[in-house]
Amino acid sequence: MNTSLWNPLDTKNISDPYPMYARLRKEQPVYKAQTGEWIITKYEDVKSLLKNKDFISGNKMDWVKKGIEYFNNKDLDLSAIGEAINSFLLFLNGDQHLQARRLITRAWDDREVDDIIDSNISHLLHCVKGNKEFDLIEKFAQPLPAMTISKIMGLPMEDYEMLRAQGNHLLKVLDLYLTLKDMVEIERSAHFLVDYFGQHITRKRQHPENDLTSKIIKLNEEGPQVVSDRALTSLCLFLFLAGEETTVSLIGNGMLNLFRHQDQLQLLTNDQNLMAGAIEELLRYDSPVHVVGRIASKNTLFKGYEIKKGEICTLCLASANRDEDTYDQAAQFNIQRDPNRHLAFGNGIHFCLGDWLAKRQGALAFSSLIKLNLGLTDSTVNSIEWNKNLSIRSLKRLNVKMN
Amino acid sequence: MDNAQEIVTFMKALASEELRTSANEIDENATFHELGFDSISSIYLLEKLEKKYEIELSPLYFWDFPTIALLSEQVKKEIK
Ligand code: HEM
Repeated sequence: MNTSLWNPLDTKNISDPYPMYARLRKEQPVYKAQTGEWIITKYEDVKSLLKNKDFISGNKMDWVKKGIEYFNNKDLDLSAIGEAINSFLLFLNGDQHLQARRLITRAWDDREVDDIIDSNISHLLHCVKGNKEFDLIEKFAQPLPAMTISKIMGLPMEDYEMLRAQGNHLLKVLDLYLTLKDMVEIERSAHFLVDYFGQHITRKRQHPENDLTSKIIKLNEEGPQVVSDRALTSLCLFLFLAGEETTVSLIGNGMLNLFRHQDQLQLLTNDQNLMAGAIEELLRYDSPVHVVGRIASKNTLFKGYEIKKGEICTLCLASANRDEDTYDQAAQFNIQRDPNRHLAFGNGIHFCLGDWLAKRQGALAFSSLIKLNLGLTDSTVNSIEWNKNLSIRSLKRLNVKMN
Repeated sequence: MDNAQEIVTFMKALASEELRTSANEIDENATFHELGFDSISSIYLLEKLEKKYEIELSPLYFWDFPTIALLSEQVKKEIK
């Protein structure tokens, strides 16, 4: 009999993990799970560990490296995964992280993205014009961020759909518990994407343009060179991936929650000045990133618990954002909530680097979708299906009808 | 139909190969952790079970049913 409080893969918790989080917060906010990891669910605890320098990133990278070695002995080559993720900003620590992060923020000097996003949105809405029903995930939420980041990074526009699909396989590497089947699929996409982004960088070095990839290459070469070519590929690859499924989730979960709270949807429809606050509340109430991982770099006493060096902490951002001790009526969806300092973008040195882009893209997407006066199709209302992914929570599909 | 004992035998054979000990020495009531499995070799173990019995297992089963005896009971349920 399994009595653990941590059953995130159970069907009922995939469709709604919030009751599990609520119980953990109440009974065991610092919980040593059957898997050996510490599950942290309260706002103040999550925030304090995100800021704690003794809890470092990259536990997943260590695990992947060990996995590559292990399966290599079984004649299964997973080395492309290591190649793909070796410089994912999320996994880096110390100076290496600081330098790579500074390289990107310095290169990303152009924050004028509205024209790009607007034209992508018009294109996508034009494609569904005349349809009585369409899948908002497939036709809108998935392509939009891929088109936008492709444009920003100077990637060939004809490739965005393929890159998105491949990227989604690779991103599975961030998930908590993987099967060998997952690993093999991740390896295949890693192989493809490492080649693809490697070539993209070579091309941009020869023919630089006014895009983010060219700017990163140039800045890096002006020196002192902080990143090797190998690392540059991984760095750019992560930049492409980081805002994909997360934004799909913001738009998809966001529309679902607005449909489910018609009063709030009405408020927003009548007064678009509420948009900024609505986005914050959507991020808090149903956060795209549910968990992030850290590893203890030394023995630490945390709230009376001895966390040993090398042990993993799973920080549940989505649970922290529903903490009753932090928010009045935490389970209530209220687009006018103020203050609303949620952890949906993390905290501390790894704080999301694309939060501004995600919010802008979200705001423009929601305002145009709201104007269409959409509703859930009857068959969708009772059959909402979620992807079985623990780190990013997103919908499989969201069939909507034009009213 | 495989009964639980057959599944135990299959898992013991896998474990003995993996941990380079004789199958007789493997205690079906010891935790995988005690036997010497970890979160990486667990993937291999679960994959072998999935292939052999044509089922799908949650990666969390390794911890939720942490001995050969417990996991084989669960595998038996999944086969049905
Ligand atoms: C709604 C959309 C998004 C959400 C909810 C989100 C959330 C997050 C979170 C929680 C982290 C911190 C992870 C940790 O501490 O382990 C993070 C990091 C990051 N995000 Fe986002 N993100 C979003 C969109 C984007 C976009 C559009 C980009 C743009 C490229 C982006 C780029 C990054 C990068 C580069 C990092 C790593 C920062 C570092 O390690 O220093 N994100 N994001």
